[in-house]
Amino acid sequence: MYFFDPHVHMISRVTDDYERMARMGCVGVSEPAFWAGFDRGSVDGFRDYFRQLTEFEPTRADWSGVQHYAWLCINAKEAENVELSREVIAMIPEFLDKPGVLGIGEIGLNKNTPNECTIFREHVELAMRTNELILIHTPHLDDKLKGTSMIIDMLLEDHRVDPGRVLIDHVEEHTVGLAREEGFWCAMTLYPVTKCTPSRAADIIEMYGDDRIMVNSAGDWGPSNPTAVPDFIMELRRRGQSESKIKKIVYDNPIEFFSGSERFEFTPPDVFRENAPTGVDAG
Amino acid sequence: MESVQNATEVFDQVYLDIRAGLLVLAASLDRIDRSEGAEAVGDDVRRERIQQGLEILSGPGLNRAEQIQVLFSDPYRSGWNTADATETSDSPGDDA
Repeated sequence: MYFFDPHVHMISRVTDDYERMARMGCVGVSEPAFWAGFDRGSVDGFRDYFRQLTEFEPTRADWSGVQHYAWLCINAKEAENVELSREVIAMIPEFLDKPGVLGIGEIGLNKNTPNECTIFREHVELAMRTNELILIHTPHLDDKLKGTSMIIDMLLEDHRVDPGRVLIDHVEEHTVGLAREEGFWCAMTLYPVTKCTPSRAADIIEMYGDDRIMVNSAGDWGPSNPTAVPDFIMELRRRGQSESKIKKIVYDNPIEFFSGSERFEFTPPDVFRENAPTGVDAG
Repeated sequence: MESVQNATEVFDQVYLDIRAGLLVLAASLDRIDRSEGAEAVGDDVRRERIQQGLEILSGPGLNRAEQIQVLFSDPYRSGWNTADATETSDSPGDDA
């Protein structure tokens, strides 16, 4: 079955992961900007990062026949440096006309601090001014319920925000209802220990339905599994769900949401693979 | 997307997973209790939460997973961002 991984940090993964994902049916990935494992020191560091996300990663993905899309922001973990955050937000428009840039993300909260709220609101302001989609990171573990509630409060402060153009990510049993009640899109992250398992994600979809929801691996530089979406597909098959219903979650829904961006140009996989180039050596 | 399996089919599918999960839980609690200083862990708020979680598991309901998620969540103060809310300087949204 063809699928999208709508949230995966491929910059942290090796080319073989693209290959393995493609063999399992992955036809597209979307990659939000995130924390590199250390706080970056300058706006030029982010400029280079955004170049990698928008120029080299699409090329590298293309070697395996995977279509690559990107989101731009400064991560909430780095929002305590308000001055640098504002410099990055001011620089983002340089990249908003690049092919495959879907919007602003993953913005959100990490420790639910005042500075994180300030920078979150300024990202939302940028998205509203430039008519971009928004991809939202919600905190982990004990911070999640409070942080997700605060994020939704801040989004509802701004009457320009259309919930149908916002994806709230990393939802779990106690936050999926909050997001869906207000009309936002949701995503569940299949991640070892700290987020959702394929089985719990399937439970949530059985309870809340398959509209405006998707699953992702959030594969990154930490313990994570970039082929987690196929694990979810297998879980639904074990439960006897039909192929068409599974496809809606892992393929149709991401495409529907991403189509809200005028820069989302997607070539159906059968056409794309006929024209896929061959790879090159890195070393 | 509703479940297409009946309860017996689901139980057959998850029985060994549940059994294995209970064993991991039991062995982990045993390991804590046989270690030096186990009494101190008894006063740890995290251990108390785990005990509350076990009580949720043994009770009735269709949303045990959600209840356990809420149990392990920080408090949230609705209206934290309104003009008349009293902001605590470093922790907006706290249930102060």
